[in-house]
Amino acid sequence: MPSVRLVDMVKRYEMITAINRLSVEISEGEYVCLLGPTGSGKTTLLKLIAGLVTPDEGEIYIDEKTVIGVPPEERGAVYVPQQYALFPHLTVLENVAFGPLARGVEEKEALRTAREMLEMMRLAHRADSKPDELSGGMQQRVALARGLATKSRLMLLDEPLGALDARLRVELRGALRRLAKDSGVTVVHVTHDQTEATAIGDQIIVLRDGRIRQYATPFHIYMRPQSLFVAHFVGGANFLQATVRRRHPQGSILELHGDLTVKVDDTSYLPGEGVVVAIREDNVKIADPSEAIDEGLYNVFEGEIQSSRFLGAFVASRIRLSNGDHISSKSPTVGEQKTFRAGDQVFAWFDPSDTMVYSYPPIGLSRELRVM
Amino acid sequence: MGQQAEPDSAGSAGVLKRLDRISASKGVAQGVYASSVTFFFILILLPPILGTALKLDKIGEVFSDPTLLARSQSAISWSFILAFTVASLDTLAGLPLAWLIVRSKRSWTSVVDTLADIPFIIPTVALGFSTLLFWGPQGLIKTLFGEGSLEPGLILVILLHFTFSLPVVVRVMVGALSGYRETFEIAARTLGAEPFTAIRTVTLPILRPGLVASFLLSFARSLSETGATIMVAGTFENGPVFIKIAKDTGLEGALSFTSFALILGSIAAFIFIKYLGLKLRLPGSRVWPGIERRLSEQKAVLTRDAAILAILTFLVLLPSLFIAFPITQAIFDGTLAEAVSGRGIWGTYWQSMVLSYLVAVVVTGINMIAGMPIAVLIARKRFGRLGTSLVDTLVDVPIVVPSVALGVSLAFFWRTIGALPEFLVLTLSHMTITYTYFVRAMSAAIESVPVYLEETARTLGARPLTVFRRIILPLTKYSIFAGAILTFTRSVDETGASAAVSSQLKTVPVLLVDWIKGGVEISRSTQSLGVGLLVAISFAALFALRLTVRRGRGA
Repeated sequence: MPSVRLVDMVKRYEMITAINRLSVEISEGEYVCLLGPTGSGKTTLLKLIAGLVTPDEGEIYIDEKTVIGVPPEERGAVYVPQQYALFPHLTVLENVAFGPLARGVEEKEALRTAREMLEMMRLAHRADSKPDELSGGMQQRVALARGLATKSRLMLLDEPLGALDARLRVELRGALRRLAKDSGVTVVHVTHDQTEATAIGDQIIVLRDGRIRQYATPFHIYMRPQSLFVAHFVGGANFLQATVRRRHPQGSILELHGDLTVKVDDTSYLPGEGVVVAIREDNVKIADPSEAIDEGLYNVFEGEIQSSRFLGAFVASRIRLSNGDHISSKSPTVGEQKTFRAGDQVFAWFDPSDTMVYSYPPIGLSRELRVM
Repeated sequence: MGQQAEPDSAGSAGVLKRLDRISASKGVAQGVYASSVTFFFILILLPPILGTALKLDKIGEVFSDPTLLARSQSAISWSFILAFTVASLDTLAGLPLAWLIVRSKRSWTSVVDTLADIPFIIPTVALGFSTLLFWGPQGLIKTLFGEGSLEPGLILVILLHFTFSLPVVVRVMVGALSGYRETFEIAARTLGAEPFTAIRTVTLPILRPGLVASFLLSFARSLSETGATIMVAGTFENGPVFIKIAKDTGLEGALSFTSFALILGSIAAFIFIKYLGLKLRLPGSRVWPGIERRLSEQKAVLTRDAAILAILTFLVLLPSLFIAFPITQAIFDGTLAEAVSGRGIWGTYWQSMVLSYLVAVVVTGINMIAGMPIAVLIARKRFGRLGTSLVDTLVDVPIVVPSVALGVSLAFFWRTIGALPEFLVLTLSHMTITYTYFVRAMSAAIESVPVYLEETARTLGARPLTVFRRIILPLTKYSIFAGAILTFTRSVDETGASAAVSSQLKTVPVLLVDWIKGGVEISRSTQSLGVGLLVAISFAALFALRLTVRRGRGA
């Protein structure tokens, strides 16, 4: 049963259309990450569900009941903004008891629920502290406890890890997901960080310009991005402009400019069509020309290392191909002597099965890929 | 706030619950906003504007009397010249003083900070009387140096206005300066600017809104003040002084003409200064390294600090506090016993005291209730961008216009509407002149509460009224208190409007002006004690309020 269902949602602000005819279903108990660049409409979508923003058109159902015109306090959807919005004049316990009290639960009962929630979050010892005395991670847990104390089945988290420092942000991903799963609530989690969305979400919704570009599991989003934008925004890739030359049952041959050809597994484009081929950076391998290369390999290109950066587990290199195109590679770090340096002549290659082919976008490649 | 009786907790909880449920419907919220805006327009804004307009036919009378016309015109021009001069002097003196308070690392500057507020706490009639005595023939300067006493007149008026406007200027500037991030100035210094140059070319332009605001506030206060000005004016006449004379001598034409001109003129002047202040470019690009290096030297800074402290002491603090001497005398020469007995003129005095406080309590209560929705409306832009900024601007009108002119106009208006009892007209006029204070204090406070706190509270299940009671009120309670105090003291303090609307009922400040300036011979001791008791009771009231609030906080 879907927990949240939006149908043909439209929300316009004075000059811009923030949400553009969007429909989506979110199943009960799922952890869904809403991923998109700045200005893609993520927060607006969250606030529409919460009832803090009124849509211009469309329907919203929570638990299959329409909630258009229903005020936020009756929707049973808890909104947690990036700053957590802990009430500064109340203690931690009073903050958590706020929801039940506001709904008319008797004080004793409300405080008991609040204590339970704090215990679950392992925060019982801080019940009498004021929010500003807690660390960022604790504040976040209080915000969650406060939401859960309302018995709402739907949590709307706006950049819940955004206010934390980089290290803590990574550490708390697992904790956040586990808490949500343990309590069985449906979560919509807004983020602009694709690694965060991949690490936490059961599903990812990629949003751009108020429309859904893809809605799938993190695995699908990464392995089979439906558009150039998604491929670029989630994971990143090399994008080479090409024309389809020949089509075989097992694959197609594409032609780059400068007489280079690429073999791909995809067979869905007709000869003569303009396409863009995308290759993930970690699928581009580099080898020293002096070493013997397997005869059966496809898509082997000569090139010269333009720059090379050591990134810990990986080395990122930028290679200039003979036709002037550039291709980036991310390869596992090996011994220092074996690491290529700028100016080295190399072979770069990738497997036909690691390529993704898309029609050339009508708005142009750079506009299609733009994330702002 | 336990104003309504609460028979039992279950019953009141039931009422709250019902109100809470009602508050969730959109129509109710709109209704509350609409009715408070209607209240504002019909009871606060329109009466003073329509009042003089109703008497436009009377204005003709002035033009048939050239002497009277000349007197009115001269009084009106002097009002603006005086306000402009005082505001300029106050801004010039207030800036270095605020600078000293905010930037000095020494601990005694916090004492200076507190002292600078003194003239603000003392009722202006008391300040007027104190100034009069300080510079008078038995004053401190004359006693110390044998000469230097000042006759009532223009100079004394300027000194008085300088004294009571300075605290406002210092308050606003200290606020602006403390909020200012010094990094800009430091950046300018590391780029090679002398300290003085950095302040002049970087800090001041950034702080310009604060400078304009403090100029406007002292301008408004000078334009509006009536009671104390009358005491020290001698034969000098500005708008308020002339209006009071015209009213006492029954010159209705001159009265309406001057009030009308002051109302229009003050609004025009404000728009002009506000506009000019924001457009005016300070000479920020030229730099005079030689002079500015010398001005930045330790010696120059010390001289500046010493000068500003001397000005504060001799032109502000001593003249404000001088009244303590005659009051002490009056306590011991038997006048106190007479006052406590309430015999003779003291009977009237105590009646006036009760009236003053009664009006202030009623007005504060009404303005808090009527002003709260307007404050929310302004802070949360509930009427859209255009509608909100219109309300926002109009709310300032009552403090922009001289209160005595407002009073005259209000009296005309309410008397034309019907024979309203004088107490009601007095209350209505005080409602108008104090309306801005609570709304301003509250809207600023609500604006500082992030919207997402309200939003989150709603999604946690709280209805609008609960959000207001449990989130907004607790987070803004000090501003509620501050706004109420401002409204209350402003009402107790007010002379101009009170004098303009009343013929039988006299508030304490009006009565004191009569005692000191009126034809009746009243002893210096009596006058001093009258003023002194007003000061003492004001202080006691403030102190009691503060205690109540503190106790409320503890619970």
